[in-house]
Order: sequence, then C-alpha cells, then structure tokens
Amino acid sequence: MIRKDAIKTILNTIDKDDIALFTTGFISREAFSVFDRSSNFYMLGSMGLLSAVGAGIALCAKDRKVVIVEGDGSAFMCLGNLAVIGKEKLNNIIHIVLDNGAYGSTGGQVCVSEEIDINKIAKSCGYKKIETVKDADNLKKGLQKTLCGKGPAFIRVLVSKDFNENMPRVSLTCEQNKKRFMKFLKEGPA
Amino acid sequence: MIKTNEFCASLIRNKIFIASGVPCTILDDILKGVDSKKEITYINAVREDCAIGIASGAYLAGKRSAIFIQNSGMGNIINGLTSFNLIYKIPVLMFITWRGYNGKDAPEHIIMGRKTLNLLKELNIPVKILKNVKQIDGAVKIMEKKKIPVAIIIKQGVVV
Repeated sequence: MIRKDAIKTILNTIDKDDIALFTTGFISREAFSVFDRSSNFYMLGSMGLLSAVGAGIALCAKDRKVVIVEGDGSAFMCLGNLAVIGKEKLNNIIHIVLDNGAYGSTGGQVCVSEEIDINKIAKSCGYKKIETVKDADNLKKGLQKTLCGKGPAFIRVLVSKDFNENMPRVSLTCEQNKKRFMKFLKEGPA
Repeated sequence: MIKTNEFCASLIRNKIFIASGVPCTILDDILKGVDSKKEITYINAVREDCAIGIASGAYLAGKRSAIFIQNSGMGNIINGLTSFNLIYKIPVLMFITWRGYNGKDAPEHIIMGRKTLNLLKELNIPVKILKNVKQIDGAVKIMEKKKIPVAIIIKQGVVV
C-alpha cells in the first residue's frame, strides 16, 4: 500500500470527533495534503515524541479517540512510550505505525523494523488490540473495530517506500496549528 | 526550607492537573506527595522527553502541567524544547533538580552541575532557583504569559 493512501484511509474512516496526530516529515506533509482539518495535529519536529504527546492528550480528553500516526523509525525511537500507554491503560488511544522499514523523510535509510516485530513489543507493553494490515480495506476494517472498542489499540500498516519527494510542507505555522487544534479539542467539531 | 505539603498545595492552587517525571533522590518526598494528591495525576515517564511530551499533550488538551526531572536528564529534553515547546509555544512548568551543585557530587553530575543554568539561559527559558512557594505562582504567571516552559531549580534540602 502507498503510505499516502493509508493516511487517506485513516482520515476517511475516523469520526469527526476523533483527533489524529501526525509525526514529523512526510507523514505530516501527506496528511496535510490529503485531508487537512482542525482535528489534525502536525508535529513538525521532535521525532519520537508524538506518542508521549498523544498519551498526554488521551489522559486529559478521555472522551476523545486519539489516533497517533507515526512511522516505524519514529516508533522505535521512543519505544518506552508504548510502555507508558499500556501501563496507564489509555484505552482511547489508537496507535498506528506506518511501517516501510525505512527513514523515508531522510533518504530511505534502513530502519530496524525490517527485522524486529513491533507488534510483539506492543503486546508486551499492554496494548489490547493489535494487528498488521497490508491494504486499505483491512486498514479500514481494523480501524473501525478499534474505534468501537477499548484500546489501547495498535495497528501496524505495511506500506511501500514510495512517496512523492516534492510533497509540499505543511503551510500552517506551528502556532496556527496549535491554536486551531486546541480550539477543536475544547469546542468539538465545527 | 519548604514543607512538601506546602509545595504540593502550591501546585494544586496553581491548577497543575498533570505531572510527569523521572525520579531523582532530591524529588523523593515531592513525588510521593504529588502522587498522593487526588487533584494531580502523576504519570511515571520512562525518560525525560516522554515526561515533557505527556505534559505538552496535557496542555494541548487545555490542562496545566508540570514535569519533574533531574538536571542530568536535561539533555533528553533539548530536542523537545527546541523543536516543539518553544516553537509551538507550549508552556510546561519544569521542576529540575540541581545535582552537582557547587561541584560537589558524584563524577557523572559535575559537568551538568556547572552547565545547568547556562543551558537554560541559552534557550531563553526563564529560570527560578526555588526558595519559597511564591516563586511557583510567579513561574506560572510567566509561563502563561509567554507560553513557554519555565524552569524551577530545586537544590538538595530545599523541599523537605
């Protein structure tokens, strides 16, 4: 599956009340180009920090589903955050790892995920629903199941290394993104 | 000297809702105190950047938050501060213990003990060295006004 299509599927499947957080690099760029809306948060730096930020939001906004979307490189960078999410039983988290086995945004260098099963790590950390999907249909079904159930849920999405290098950057400033997102969290969907 | 209960009361008065951190011996009584208060949810972080991520997420969800870390862990939050908190303008109250103060401590604390204040200054992060709880009120006001993290440095023996 092309990563951008996986992101499109995610954004078209989640509810208008759900929030989606995107990690730095092309994952944020692709999400912004595919379906920008005020429930999206684009983390432009701090690779690896996204899942901790998601945990903080999930703790305080228990009525929201918090969909964390990061790559395998980002997820492996801060594996400990998975343990915190599992230990704190953050049931409103759906943690999606778009796994292309590489650091796509910096030239496609190989990541350890090619040989290490991150699903087993998620299970050990206390995630409740865990699966691997390879196509849009199964991603949609898997996401719908986790959105209805109690997490924390983990979906590993196998994606190809293909992406558009000319994808433009997120055109919102960091502060614009923050304010828009915080307003959404406070007031709900428009 | 500040009593732990007085310290915790100040956090509650300042509406700190979420706290996260990594232990330090200087924080032992404080963290037990914070964890015992129903008004504050304390989350054990696996590393200092995890703590600042959690605290920042809490802010995005409309809640005031704090981290508790040892100065040795400051190196683990530099990326978060420079490419997240300081550019998105996400305020977090940072309680940082001062190991290696005055060059007296185990060897692994000596360099950071000397560099702690300068590192924060380099990042234009306001710093207070804790002597009384009113400084916490002041720090929260600065943090809310400037929308950036503010550091409160805790030396050994200041909070008991």
